[in-house]
Amino acid sequence: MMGALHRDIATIIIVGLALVVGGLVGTPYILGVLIIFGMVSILVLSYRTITTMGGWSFAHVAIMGIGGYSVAIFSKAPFEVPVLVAVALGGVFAALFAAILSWPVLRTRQYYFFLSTFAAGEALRQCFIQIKEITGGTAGIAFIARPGILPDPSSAFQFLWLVAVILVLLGLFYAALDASDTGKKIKAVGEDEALSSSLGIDAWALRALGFILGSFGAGIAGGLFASYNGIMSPSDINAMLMFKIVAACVIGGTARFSGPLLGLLFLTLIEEIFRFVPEFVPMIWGALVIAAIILSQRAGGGLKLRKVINA
Amino acid sequence: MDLMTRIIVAGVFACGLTGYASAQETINIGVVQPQAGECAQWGVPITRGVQIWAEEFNANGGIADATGKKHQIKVTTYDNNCYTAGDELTAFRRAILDDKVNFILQTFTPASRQAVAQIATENKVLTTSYGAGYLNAKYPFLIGSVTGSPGSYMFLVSHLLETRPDIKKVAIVTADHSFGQAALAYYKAGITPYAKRVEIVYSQPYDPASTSDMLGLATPIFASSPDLIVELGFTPGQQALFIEAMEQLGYKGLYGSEGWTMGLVTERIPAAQLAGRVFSAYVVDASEPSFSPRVSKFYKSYVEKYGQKEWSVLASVAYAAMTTVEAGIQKAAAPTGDAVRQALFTTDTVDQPLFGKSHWGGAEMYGANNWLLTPLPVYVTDDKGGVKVDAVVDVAKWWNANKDAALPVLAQGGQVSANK
Repeated sequence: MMGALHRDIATIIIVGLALVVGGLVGTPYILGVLIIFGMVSILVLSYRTITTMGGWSFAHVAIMGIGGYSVAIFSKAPFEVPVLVAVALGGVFAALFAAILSWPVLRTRQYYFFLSTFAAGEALRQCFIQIKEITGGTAGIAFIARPGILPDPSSAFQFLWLVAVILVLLGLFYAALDASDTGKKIKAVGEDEALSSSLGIDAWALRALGFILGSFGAGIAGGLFASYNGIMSPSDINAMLMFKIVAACVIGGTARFSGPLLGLLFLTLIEEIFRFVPEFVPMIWGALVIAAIILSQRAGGGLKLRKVINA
Repeated sequence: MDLMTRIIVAGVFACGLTGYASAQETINIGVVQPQAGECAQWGVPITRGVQIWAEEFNANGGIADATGKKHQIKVTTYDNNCYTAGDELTAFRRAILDDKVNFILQTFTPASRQAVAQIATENKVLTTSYGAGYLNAKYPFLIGSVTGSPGSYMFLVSHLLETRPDIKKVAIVTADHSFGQAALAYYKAGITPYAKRVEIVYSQPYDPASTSDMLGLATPIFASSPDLIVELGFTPGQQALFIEAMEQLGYKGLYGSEGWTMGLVTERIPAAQLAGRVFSAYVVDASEPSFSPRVSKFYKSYVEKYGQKEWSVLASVAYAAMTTVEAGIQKAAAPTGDAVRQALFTTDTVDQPLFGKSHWGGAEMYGANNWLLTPLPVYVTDDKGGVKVDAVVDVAKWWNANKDAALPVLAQGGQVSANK
């Protein structure tokens, strides 16, 4: 019987391989869909790490923006840092921001945590708009380069490879964290903070660690987004993407890595199937989330169907 | 004829029709606009404008290219999540890479145009807008096929200041997003030639989220005592709420914008109260019958299909933008993005089907003459909530006379991309 860690590792490797194989056989359009799927997969996996500490943040996409703007700013003159280094810097800056943010927001719980992260995310988005000299204001920063490390930076397939590799590496890191003593303590704090504290566990530090490490992944994903799209603007930090991440976790469940990824796959399929009637996609997503909440046995547990698949 | 013969004849006829249809080479046109949420108030009428334009041709067997060959037009819509640059690019990827569209109509929003510049050019998909927004010599497949936005803001405010010397104070009300930022720069550029006698008394951009408190937004604007308020960024519904709030505060001056959905405005304020005070200039307003019989016919088709209450000037703006593409298709040997672009740029003018001979311009701003400067009708409301033509601005002439004053202001507002 495969253990939880092995199943998570297998899930991540299968997703990484599926992305590359899909890119080999798919049309140029499918290639684009797979790249975006890969980058959003990094977002949902990193978001899952945050949820293990017991809070559902609404600042994840805004924190992703830190990564995006890091690449937009540092890959251009006068810095001209290699794009991949800028992507890594974006992850570090996102983690640093999360560390600072964790001091006030991790003193809140439940709805208050949700609200405080929502407010923090909005404040961050406003900073991107208002610090025009650095961020380009509402117009953002355009014509961001692809990583020069790729033999052909304009090749979408090579970019997909890069996304798949980063997804697998980050996924393995999060899986290792999940299976480690520290990861187990984070989950214990998430499930019962009072009990964990009574056992001598530093609940605040562990919650902060989960938040910071999850935000690191968001920063990396943001950097990749900026490089792939060639533009980073405040409008890219929008509620729809945040909703998609949360919905993927709600629909698939957060118990194991396969949950959010399957949730995301499901939402992506809906998006593509209904692409000719795009006005209905938000409604269908909304209905799915409501259905998932009704059908799930407990918060964060995911659908019964998912539990059967995951058993 | 027995049943079997009928089936065979029908089958052969159907095959013939299929063959004919494929030989026709359908022209695929993509419309990238918000299809859901609040921004659909803009996106849906724009989409409908393109669809009616296509239906007009399809009903007559299609649009003929320079060889006389007729082509049916297929219009596909794509959502851009309220002009989000990343989603605009995703929509373009779908349209170009999967649906193989030949032409795309998109927003003039500079960030969105920048986001798609490369993919449109690499795939030679002629990408137009109801205005310029962002153009660049490096991206020749990005064009502005009518004067439109954001240039029209400059010409509108300038026209009002020129023809109404009693205007001394102007309030500029723009949203704090990419196209609001563009509008602010263009409004300021239009005021610059009159800077000696006109003062900008309000120009603080607002957060779009703050429009839920319209009275709170309107109060400081009213306190600045403007004679003219020019706006950009409100949805049609918000425009009506804004005018209502200003009127409640006792404002008696003029309003200017790219367009007003007067049906929504007059639900709140009597048309007679606003007669002669509400101005618009976008591209063309089809609800006004005298400017062009063709757009007037389009207006009737629109109202017949969707109803009077659904009318929005944005539909005619999109329709007008497509007529430049139409002129290119009719001059091109084949309806491809490349051939149509070449046909349009054969000379420095285009015989625009609605506006007549119009010059390509924009080099001083964008480093490329890819912006078609069509004459700009300015409209004013009447006492029945309709509009009439106040004047038609010769924008090419205005630009030549005022560009030295306007260019530095536009550059300061981040709207000049020449040499970048």
